[in-house]
Amino acid sequence: MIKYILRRIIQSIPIFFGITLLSYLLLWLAPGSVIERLYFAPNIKAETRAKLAAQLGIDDPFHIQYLRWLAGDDWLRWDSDGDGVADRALEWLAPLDEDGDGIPEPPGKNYGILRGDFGNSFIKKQPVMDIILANLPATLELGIATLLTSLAIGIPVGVLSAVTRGRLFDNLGRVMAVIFDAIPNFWLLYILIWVFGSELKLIPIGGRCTPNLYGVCPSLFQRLEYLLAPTIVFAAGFVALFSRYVRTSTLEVLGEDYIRTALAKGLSPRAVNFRHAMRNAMIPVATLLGPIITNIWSGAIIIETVSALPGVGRIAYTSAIQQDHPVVMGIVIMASVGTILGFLLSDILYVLIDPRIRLE
Amino acid sequence: MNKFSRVLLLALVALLVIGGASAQEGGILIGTNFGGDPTNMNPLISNNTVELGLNEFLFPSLFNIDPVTRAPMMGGRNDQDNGLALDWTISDDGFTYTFNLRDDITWNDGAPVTAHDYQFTFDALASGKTSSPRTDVLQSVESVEAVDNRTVVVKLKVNSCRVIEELDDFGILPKHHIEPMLDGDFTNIDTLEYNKNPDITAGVFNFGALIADQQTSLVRNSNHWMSVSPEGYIIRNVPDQIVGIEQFLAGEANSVGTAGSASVPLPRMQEFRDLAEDGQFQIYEYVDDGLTFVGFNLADRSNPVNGQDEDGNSIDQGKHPLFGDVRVRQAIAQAVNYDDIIAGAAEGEAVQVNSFGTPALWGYDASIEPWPYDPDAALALLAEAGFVDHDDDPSTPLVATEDALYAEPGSEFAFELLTNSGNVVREAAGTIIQDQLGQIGIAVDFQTQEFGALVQFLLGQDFDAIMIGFTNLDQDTDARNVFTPVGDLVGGGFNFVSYSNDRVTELYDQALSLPGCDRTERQALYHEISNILHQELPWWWLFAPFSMYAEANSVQNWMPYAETRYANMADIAISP
Repeated sequence: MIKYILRRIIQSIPIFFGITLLSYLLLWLAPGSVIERLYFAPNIKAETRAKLAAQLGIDDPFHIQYLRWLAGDDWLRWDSDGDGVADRALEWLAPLDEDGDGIPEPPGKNYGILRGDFGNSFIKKQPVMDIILANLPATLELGIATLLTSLAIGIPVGVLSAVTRGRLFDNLGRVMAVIFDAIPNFWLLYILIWVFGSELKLIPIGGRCTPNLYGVCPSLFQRLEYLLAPTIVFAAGFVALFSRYVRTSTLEVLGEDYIRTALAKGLSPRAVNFRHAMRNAMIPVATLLGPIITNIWSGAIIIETVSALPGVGRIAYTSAIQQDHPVVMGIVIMASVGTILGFLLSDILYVLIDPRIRLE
Repeated sequence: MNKFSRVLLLALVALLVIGGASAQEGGILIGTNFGGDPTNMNPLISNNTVELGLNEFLFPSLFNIDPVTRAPMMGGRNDQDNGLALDWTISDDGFTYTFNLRDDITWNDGAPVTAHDYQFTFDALASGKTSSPRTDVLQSVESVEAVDNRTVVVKLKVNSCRVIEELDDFGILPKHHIEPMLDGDFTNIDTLEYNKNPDITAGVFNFGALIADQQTSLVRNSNHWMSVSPEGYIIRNVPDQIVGIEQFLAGEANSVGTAGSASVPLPRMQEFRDLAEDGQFQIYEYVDDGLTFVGFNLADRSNPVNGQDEDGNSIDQGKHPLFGDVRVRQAIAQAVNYDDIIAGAAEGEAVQVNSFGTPALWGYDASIEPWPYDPDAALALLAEAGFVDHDDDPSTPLVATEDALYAEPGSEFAFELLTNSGNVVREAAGTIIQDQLGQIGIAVDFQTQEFGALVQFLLGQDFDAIMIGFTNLDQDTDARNVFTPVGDLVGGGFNFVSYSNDRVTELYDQALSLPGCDRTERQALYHEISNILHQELPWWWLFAPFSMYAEANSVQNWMPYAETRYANMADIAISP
């Protein structure tokens, strides 16, 4: 299996570079820039906007911007004598005096993502990784709570629906699954906020911690109420998905010979259903985990934005709107790696759950 | 009443007084911010509304702004406007300004705020090494010199009546704290940790903490000479406006918006009015300092060129086949019912404007009658301009005749109207315009574009007509960048409609360099410009929206102005 995992990782490398190139190209092709977003006002002159664009490097051609982001620019133009002024450059790629004003361009200071430098946010002027890491805990809290809730509810509901096939519980479960799958989660979240937050005042309306002057955020267990509404809403769709998958696979398993054998041997239906059938019915669920991690990542964009949770999904949204490309690309990288690893995890789980399967 | 009873009564009264007084002290003001975090609180490079709003509580500025007249004000309070200038003089030739500063303001580390701090901040801006967008002032200022701790002398290279406002366009940095961190290079200002954590400030609040994408807090500066009552001010970062408003209605926040923004959305204003009338909270309404308009491209869009060359000579830009003729623009301005636009698109929460600016700006001439809705007059003007209904079918577009000045004879009267997608007010207004112009035979291809794409069309001067809006217009309605050839630069200038009128250019120059800069005299010049712009319609003036502050009843003694939400922070008390 280790050989298989290594092979998959090696196969992922060109996919990863393909994703970065395509994503960067798409962002570059998008009309306008962060400069128009931030400085579109009659009292800001064209020269000022051009200068700000040059400072961010977004007036460079695509290949230079991509190279700088990928591999840095300290090797494109550098300061060899340590006087703070660039004196050497790969002239054919990045001339020392690119604008022809007789003054050398500043030396490159970026190392590129291949050397762990994700650059600085155009807007926050902070390292991208710092921004992402600061927001990661909120996304992890929401993601893990959502995954656990949806598994804890979706799997038993799916199994019970299968064993009560055609009866009230099954019919109700299937109807509810369709409803929760179809309802836009932002709408459901608004309703929860309105009913339980505004009207009944049972839960706080958005946010992650109680506002306070010194920016103190208590531990998760002291502020679970903030996670309640977004988790319920986010999990609703996944509960529907899991229950339908588990129901289908349980029905298939319940028709297998070994289940009939187990029942014929006198095992109780509960033991058969939950001990023998359920484990085998879990195999399709395992294959779902990879895509679901990706779904949670992307779904968090809406949930975090509406519920004012300071997560990675929310900065993905705001950065995309503001055309803060370094942050968007940082999140794309994390999502890409997460997706690749998520699918790999699915395959590994597949083997662990079903001993008949061997990865080659 | 015996002695014991009297003592008991006095004690009770004393308790009540003390209790009442303590209810007036402390409390935290909580606002909601629908924009991004204030991550650059350095007043030189701050740019978004929330940052600028916070700056006013943290940093000193050169002078105060009168909240009523919105004019620079000598002396006065040192509240949200942390003005330093007690007074100033202008030399006879208008080229030298001398500011006399107060000497009783200190940074929160005890160091005095001096003229040297102002000069240091200006020098940083003038270095051109920072990402500050406030470079307008550099066009007119030759030098800024701190003669002593209390005197700043500003020398101009050109006479500019706007310079007084431009000199106050940024807060003042603590030189003694910032300079040692720069290693002699102003470039380092952009990346100072201070920008995210301004520890040395001089306002009524100190900076508290910033939790990314959650909240920013300010804490009362007890050492300020005019200590305020609220213990602090928290701004919650809530990206979704609906959620932010629910937080306010549920009592989780004291205000909708922040110090720098109003933020009650147009569709909910009437609901807020009703609730305020019921006494549930307080509101304050005003006409916004921004307007929505349609810009007509007056030049040939197929070959966009600058309005003038480097020597200032005019360049032939061609004429737009339709909008090159002022009669066409005037006809369009009379062919649409503004009441329908304001009621249907702006929820009735706007006022029709007649020229550049809004009633909130002192240069605006409210006496000019806006264009009326008169489709018959519009058709007559179009006929005069050579566009006729050739088939007596109003559902088909008008057609140009030989009399049309710039359109090909036989060509249909059709144009493309663009606006930015996601702006529901403009999308609705565009649909109404499309429908009503269609009724008199003008075919409008109304399209929405993503904002970045729209800006590219706009600055590239590659459009027929664009509906857009500007907010936070400067109080001084000087718009040389917008309506003179100086700003007619393809790719970056704001005279994207290529408008040129020698008289307008002359009037702007006069208003800018008027000896003595008397506001009344300048206002008269701006009014003349407004009249010309009203008639010539390089922009089709639509409306200025209303704005509304909403504040919880717990915020006592609240006295807002359009200019500033908390003009009297010193008097505000937060009740439990």
